[in-house]
Amino acid sequence: MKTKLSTLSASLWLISIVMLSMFLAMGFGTAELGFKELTECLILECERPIYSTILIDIRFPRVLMGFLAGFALAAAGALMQNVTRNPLADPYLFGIVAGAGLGATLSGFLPEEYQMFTLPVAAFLGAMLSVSIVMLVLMHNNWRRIEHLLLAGVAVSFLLSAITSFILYFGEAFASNRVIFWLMGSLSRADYSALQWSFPVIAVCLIVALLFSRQLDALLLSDESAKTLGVNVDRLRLLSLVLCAAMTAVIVSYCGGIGFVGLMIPHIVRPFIGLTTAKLLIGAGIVGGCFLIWIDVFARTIISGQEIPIGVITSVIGSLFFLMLMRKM
Amino acid sequence: MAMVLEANNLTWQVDNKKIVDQISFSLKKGETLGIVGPNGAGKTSLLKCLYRGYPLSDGDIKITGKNLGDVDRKYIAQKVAVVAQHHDSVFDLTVFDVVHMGLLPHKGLFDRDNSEDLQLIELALKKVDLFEKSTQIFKTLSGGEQQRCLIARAIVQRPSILIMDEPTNHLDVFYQHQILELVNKLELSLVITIHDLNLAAQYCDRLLLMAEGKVIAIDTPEKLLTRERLQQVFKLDCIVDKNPFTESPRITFSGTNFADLTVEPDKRECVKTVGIKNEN
Repeated sequence: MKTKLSTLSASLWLISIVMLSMFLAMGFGTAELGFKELTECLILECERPIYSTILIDIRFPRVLMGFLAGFALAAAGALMQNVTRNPLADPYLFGIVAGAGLGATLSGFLPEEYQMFTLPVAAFLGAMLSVSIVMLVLMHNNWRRIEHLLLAGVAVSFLLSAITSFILYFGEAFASNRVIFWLMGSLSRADYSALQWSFPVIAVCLIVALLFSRQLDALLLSDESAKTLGVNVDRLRLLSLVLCAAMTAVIVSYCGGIGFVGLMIPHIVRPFIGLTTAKLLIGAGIVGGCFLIWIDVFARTIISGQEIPIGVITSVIGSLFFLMLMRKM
Repeated sequence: MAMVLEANNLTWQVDNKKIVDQISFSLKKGETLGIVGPNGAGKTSLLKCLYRGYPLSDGDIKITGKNLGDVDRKYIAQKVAVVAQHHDSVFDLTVFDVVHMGLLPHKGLFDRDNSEDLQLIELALKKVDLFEKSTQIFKTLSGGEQQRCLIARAIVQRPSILIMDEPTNHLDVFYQHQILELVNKLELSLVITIHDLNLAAQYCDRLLLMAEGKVIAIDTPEKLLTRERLQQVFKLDCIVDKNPFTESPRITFSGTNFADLTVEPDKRECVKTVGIKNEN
């Protein structure tokens, strides 16, 4: 009975943190639209119609997208760490960002009027390309070992980045800038259509992972022990890595490179809610979502009139976290 | 009596080398079978063949009447629980988490835990005397406690057969006996690999002695553990008498210094020098 209570209180905590984060994040921004106006809009009626446009069409999808991106990246990181039994695993190890970058770059060659729609699609295809290369290379060569996965990911990253650099070097400056800024990560592209495409992918991946959570938990002790419990270890691991890749790729294709969320958040969450897969995925997801909402608030308010790419902020925090973690291990 | 396990002509080979070579035996319900033999005899490999951890090169296994090749992993996991060594988790799994894994073979994708499941886990933890430690971190437990935790997981798994690979390794004398007594009380059919022949003689109904992948003999400890046979397999001289407490065979090996097997023990030079010295 003790576990149920703590699950309940943990859920209440998490839900209230999400609601509060979303509410507060809506109040921050460049226009003279602060908390007073936000409260008015929510309870009574907006003072000016422009406020409701800003809130509903710009800030709300952005906050939602921030939550969704943080959720997906952290949940994918948690899944990957559990399934490889390696606390340093992160979906970015697949070279996903480099792949997405190449896709985004190539989409620049398409006619102007298609580009807004095709950049996410091209980035997604590029991300899946890099994942496929990594998996194909490792498929027959001990791909269960995380060190191999990491090294293959690094190699694929370099290869695809080199191709991207080559294209950008000979490309026009404007297009190059566009890709480079996109790679730094931002939620500014967030709108309802982005949500409409990424939400189903993430929801399906999450549900599938949750259905297999019992099997995934069995992997936590050792492969051998999972096998004796009737788990098809190789197939389960392949499925999980595909889920991680899909969740990460769909986020990267809309938001660009937002690194280290998947690595960092599960570590922060584990001491509070344990490491069994179902709890960890949801807990890490929610905390990751809130984390990214606040990083985005920070990114758009710290320098007035200008926005810092959130990928830059998460990478600074994340890499320092990573180094501290390695020192402790 | 119904056989829970029938192994027929089991062979597992790697690169034309037969690690497990045409082994046949059967296991009665409730029986404890100890697999003994020198290092590299293929004991652990034989165990792995029993639950399809390794693919068979030849031969077949029947578990509760069904051919192992015709059933899926889940069925095997419902019938056979395994307590093995070597767990390399870096994460802080609790004792509860580990025991909880035992439910897996009985659950479908959409099944959630119910109160009976939690009761089963509680009972299993009490049986191995770890209930008070259910929130402790598995890898911080002592070797004996880890074994007991895995036994609790096996209890939750509700199998017909329990397979244990060297359950007494790295344990002190007390825990060796504690573990073996515990599993003997479970009313399961047991297959255990074990190095210590005295423990094997004390706790197993029958022994399977193997060397270089082949069966040397399968019999009760009393009949199997003879001086000639042990000399032949372990290359050491020994004396077989009776354990004064349990009446089971007791084996005392000579050291390698005494291993000149061509000479009768009482005629050897050094045996005489190592008697009990008269201090006065």
